Amino acid sequence: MTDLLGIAASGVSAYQTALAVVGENVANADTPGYVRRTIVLATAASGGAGSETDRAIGAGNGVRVADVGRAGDALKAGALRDAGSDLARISTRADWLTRLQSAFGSGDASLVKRIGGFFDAAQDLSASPASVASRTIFLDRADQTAAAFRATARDLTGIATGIATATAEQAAQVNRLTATIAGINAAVARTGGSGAANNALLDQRDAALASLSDLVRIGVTNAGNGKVNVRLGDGPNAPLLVNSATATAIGVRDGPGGAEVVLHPTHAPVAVRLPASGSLAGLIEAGQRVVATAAAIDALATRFATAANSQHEAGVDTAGNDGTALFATVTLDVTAGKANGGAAAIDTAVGNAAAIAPSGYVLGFDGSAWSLARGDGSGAVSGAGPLTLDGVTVTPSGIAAAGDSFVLAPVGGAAGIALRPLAPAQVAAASRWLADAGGANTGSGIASVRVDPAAAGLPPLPAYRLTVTATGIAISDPATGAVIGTAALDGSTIAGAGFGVTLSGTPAIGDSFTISRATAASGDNGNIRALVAARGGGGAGGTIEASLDATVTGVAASLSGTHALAASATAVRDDAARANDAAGGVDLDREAAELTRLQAAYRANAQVIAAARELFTSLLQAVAAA
Amino acid sequence: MLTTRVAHDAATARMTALSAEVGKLQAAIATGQRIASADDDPAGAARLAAIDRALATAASERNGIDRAATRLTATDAALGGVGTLLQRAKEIALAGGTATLNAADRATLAAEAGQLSEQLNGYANTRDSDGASLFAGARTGGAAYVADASGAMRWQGAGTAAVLALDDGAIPTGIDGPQAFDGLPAAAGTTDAFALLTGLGAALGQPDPARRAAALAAAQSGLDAAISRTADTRATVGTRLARLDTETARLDAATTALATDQTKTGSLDMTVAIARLQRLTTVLQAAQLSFVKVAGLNLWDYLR
Repeated sequence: MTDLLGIAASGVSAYQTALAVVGENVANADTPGYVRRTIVLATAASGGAGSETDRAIGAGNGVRVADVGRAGDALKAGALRDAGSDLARISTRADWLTRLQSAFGSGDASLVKRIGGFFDAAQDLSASPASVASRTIFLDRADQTAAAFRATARDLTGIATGIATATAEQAAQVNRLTATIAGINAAVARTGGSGAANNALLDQRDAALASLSDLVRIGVTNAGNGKVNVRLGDGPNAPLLVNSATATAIGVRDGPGGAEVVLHPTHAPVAVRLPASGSLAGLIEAGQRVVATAAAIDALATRFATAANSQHEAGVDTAGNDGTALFATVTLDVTAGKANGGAAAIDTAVGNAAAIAPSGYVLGFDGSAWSLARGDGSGAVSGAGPLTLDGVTVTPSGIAAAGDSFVLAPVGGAAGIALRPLAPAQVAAASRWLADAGGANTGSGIASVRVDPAAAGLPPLPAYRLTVTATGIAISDPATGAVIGTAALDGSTIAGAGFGVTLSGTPAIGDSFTISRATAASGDNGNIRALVAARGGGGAGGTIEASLDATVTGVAASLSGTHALAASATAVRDDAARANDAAGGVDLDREAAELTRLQAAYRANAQVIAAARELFTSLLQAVAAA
Repeated sequence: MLTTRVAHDAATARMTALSAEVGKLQAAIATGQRIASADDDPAGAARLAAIDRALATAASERNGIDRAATRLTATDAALGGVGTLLQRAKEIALAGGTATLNAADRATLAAEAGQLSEQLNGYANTRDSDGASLFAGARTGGAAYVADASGAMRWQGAGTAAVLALDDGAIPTGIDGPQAFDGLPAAAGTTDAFALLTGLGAALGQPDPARRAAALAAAQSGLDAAISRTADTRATVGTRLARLDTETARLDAATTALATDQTKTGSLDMTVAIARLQRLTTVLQAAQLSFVKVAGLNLWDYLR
């Protein structure tokens, strides 16, 4: 009888534990990293009643809880981690590429529209070169274009900084997670690999491994004693991040091809190949794209400004003066010293971009006078008012405290482009040199003249007359009639003073041509037409706009491809998650079914106790009756 | 069944994706544009950028053609006036040769010739609506012709009139003074239209009949040449105006083609989009309803 009681009691207690496990499963149905617990029941070992020598035939000793296990499947968990790594890389790249794409602006404010607007305004100006309104619009569009370049450069810098910060943060997170995993490994070894505490540790380690695999692709191998080793990537040669209970830190540094990952960054860093999976890889890829895009935009800005400047400088403005550069290609970025006590504002104007010292400038105030020196300390100038060094004019205003200092760093490329302060009348729309055929000409000769700053074949005069003679061309000064030179009539270019002239066609003897410098209020549109024509000028990647289009389309195509990859990576990840869930996830229906089953078993055992008690009672009564 | 976390999450994710797609389609329908950002269709977006650029250039060229047409029409009108004026001068030269005229009649004719001469100066210095001299070449700011110390009209311009650059060519938007008025053949060398009119007045005042007849004959032949030159110049202007018309027609055709292309590349097919939106919203509703139904189905309800 006591056997039966004992057996039933062991059953009640085992099923109580089993019910508690179901309760645990249901309670943790939504806990990340939780793996369904399973109960392993075993028959209780023989002993007590019956022994080796007295081989009594007994029913057994009941049941015991052999183990509470985790239902997880390591392979499926690994597949889920890998799929998660792939998805994290793609979605991280998609996020940053979306930001990169938006850096080009949208609609009418986009960089490509601004550049088009500049050339369109030039085209409009060529239709009415004397119109002040057209000139004002042209300058406004030039300003907008420069501003769009600067805005794009600023956005690109912002994105690059964001990526660098995120990269450093993720590397730090990888180190925190590997340290956690190493710690858990040590704790798991102490628990001896079983029990509720062990299971909780394994849950935590799985959660940490899943978080880590979102950041970098990891390979997890069993290291014995319940510990795992974690490698950066797959394969036996991948570097170990967690070796039993020790973690190896990683870091990110600037390498030759962009950011690269190194092992133990604080002492003897070793560069390692980062597997192309995980959000850290996505960040590094996006970073490389941003750097390449920024370089392309910088090159484009320089090309645009150089083309516009060189053409603008070849013309003359309304007052008859030579055109100046339209855009400044280098601007000075003013940074106030951290310890500055005053509130002075610094205004800078660059005369000649090429003359700016690469080391920049330092501006200081000693309480009475300002001093301006190059970054390397040379060429200091000082005084109270505006200071000029290398063509850079610095105008301090407001109140400064003694000891205040400012650093003026030159900024080039897209960030440095700015419209120079030009009045509408200073737009050089007209050609510098005009050529016209004499009214009495009988031949079909045409004189064409172009700006050639190096040409010095003739003395500088406001005008020249070319007369075709029997022996060639006589060049004279129309003011005095004096012949100042001769040239052969063979279609070759005659070097003048700052220009070259070519006679083509068939001029008749006695025909004359006048070459004159454009004067004030010229209605010519030759130079602005040449600027419009520069729009179609080739170069690296075709025209300026085609080259920009290629850069924008490159980013868009990359983003579009990334979106497609993200869709398939999401599907793969979802599949892996389903498979892993089937093995280790908590299915509430199954738990409900388990619950009913275990409850029935529990009740049955309780019934057995009741039956045993009844048997016992009947026996006692029988004894009392006897 | 939605009894596991992953299954539940997957169902929610599907619904989220559906509503995101509905939102995107709705935005596309509201703007009528198929491509909201370049990554929707990189090649299409690049094509659209090129089309936009070509359309802006076409609009700019149209603007330029309008300005050039204004200038050339004004030039044509001025040259028309010059032609009429020279015709009248020739009539005066013919009338002046009639033997029946007395000195007073000739003086009246000479006064009219003087009037014509001034008119011609006026025409030569015509300015367009922007105040730019029509016949001064590139020097549009000042007068095209100014009398020198001897009274002879001298061209003050330089270069050639602004050129309208179009896709496939360049059209000068004006006639330079010398082309219209100078270089007329004369007994010795060349002369200009201004000198001819001055000479006509002088010839009418010539008292000696023989000399007068010779001078008037010379003036007549000179005026013939000037008339034919003016007609030629007007024909040049007419040709350029006709060319502008051709270019306008070409630009119109190109603009229409570009606009069609733009619609084809960038516009949303509304019928398809609305039908798709209808379908997506139906699917979304069905998904939401079935989610509620399925999520409500579980064994726990029966554990009572």
